[in-house]
Amino acid sequence: MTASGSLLLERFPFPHVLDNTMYELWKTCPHKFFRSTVQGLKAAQRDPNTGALLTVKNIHLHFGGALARGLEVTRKTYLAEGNQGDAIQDGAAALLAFWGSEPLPPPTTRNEENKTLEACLLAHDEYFRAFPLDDPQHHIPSPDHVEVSGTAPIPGVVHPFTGEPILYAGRFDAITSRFGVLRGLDDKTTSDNVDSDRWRSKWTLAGQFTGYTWLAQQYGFPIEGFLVHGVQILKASLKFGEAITPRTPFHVNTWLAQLCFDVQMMLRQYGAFIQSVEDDNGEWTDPPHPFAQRLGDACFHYMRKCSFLDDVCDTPRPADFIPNAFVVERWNPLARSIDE
Amino acid sequence: MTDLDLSNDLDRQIELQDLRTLVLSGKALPPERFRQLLNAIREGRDNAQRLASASKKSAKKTLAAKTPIDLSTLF
Repeated sequence: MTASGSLLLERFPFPHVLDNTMYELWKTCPHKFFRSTVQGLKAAQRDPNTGALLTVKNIHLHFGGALARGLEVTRKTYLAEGNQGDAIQDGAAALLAFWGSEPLPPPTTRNEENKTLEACLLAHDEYFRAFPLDDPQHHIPSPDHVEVSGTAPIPGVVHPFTGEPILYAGRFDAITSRFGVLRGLDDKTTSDNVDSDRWRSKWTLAGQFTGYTWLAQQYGFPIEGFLVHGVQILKASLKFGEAITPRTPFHVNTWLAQLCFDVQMMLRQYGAFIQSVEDDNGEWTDPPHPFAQRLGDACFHYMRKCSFLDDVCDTPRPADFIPNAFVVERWNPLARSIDE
Repeated sequence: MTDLDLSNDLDRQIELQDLRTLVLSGKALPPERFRQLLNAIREGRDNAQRLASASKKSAKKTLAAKTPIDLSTLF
């Protein structure tokens, strides 16, 4: 490989590990996957005092992360010590520590307005009234069944530089045993109505849970699907709901075959990209981009504008804008959360 | 400490800030103060909900009390 070729691979490395977030990104818009995962770009704003480019915290992710941390510590403490009140107290302390002291950006939507630290503390407390720790319906066998994570090689695909298998990684909240039936458990904060069929049916074929089921089975946990616990955050109230979403061998085999096919497609796109820019200083200029731009609904997804819309896709020379609007910060699915 | 008055937003915010500072400095969360804060947050939320629903009801009543328009006068 030439020196310029190897620099190119350093600037645009193909990930060694994929997870559901990256896979969903690719399905939504391959170009967004390329910009955020291969190129590693993360939207940033200039600090008016120092001039440094800083990434902006996402209120939804921060709220969800803090709540997840509180729930995790509560479950682990309860399973180790057996006292629900003390466990909830320890979980709340962990939630506060996760929330930290740095201010969040001002909310821009009503949903963001609802996601305050007070609402997070209440959600954490009331979660265990809706799903009590000592209720056999929500039994978690041991602390090892909380925050379950793992990786497995994706069959039939190898990394283009190393020749090693590309791994699929996943992490979910717990494994529960409801009267002997083992299922994964994932908590979801949402603004959707968690009492509705609409919310429950969202998970029927969700690849996220099929992928976790496959991973858990690789580790010897014979789970039969997932319980999804919905936490609906409203301005003046909270609602809790549960969806049960089974996974059969049919679901797992279909998902896995699709994953293998899609990762091979990603690798073809990656190969075509590297080839097309190798003699052009790493800058892509001639459309179409090998990682296709969806140019449609994906540009405005989850009620918000894609972070690559203005400075990347809506300009003929993205390279002129990227250094002033993004930092390079790659997501590593194997890294633990920031507080550990 | 069991006699804190957390009945308004500002007092609650100050207490929340105090407890955050304690936790972030590595100290334990005082159970009684934390429980009192949670109750105050819950009470504040319930009051806001009651106010919102009372103002919705009153808006409905105002609308219903308005004299209906006689459509025949429009044509």
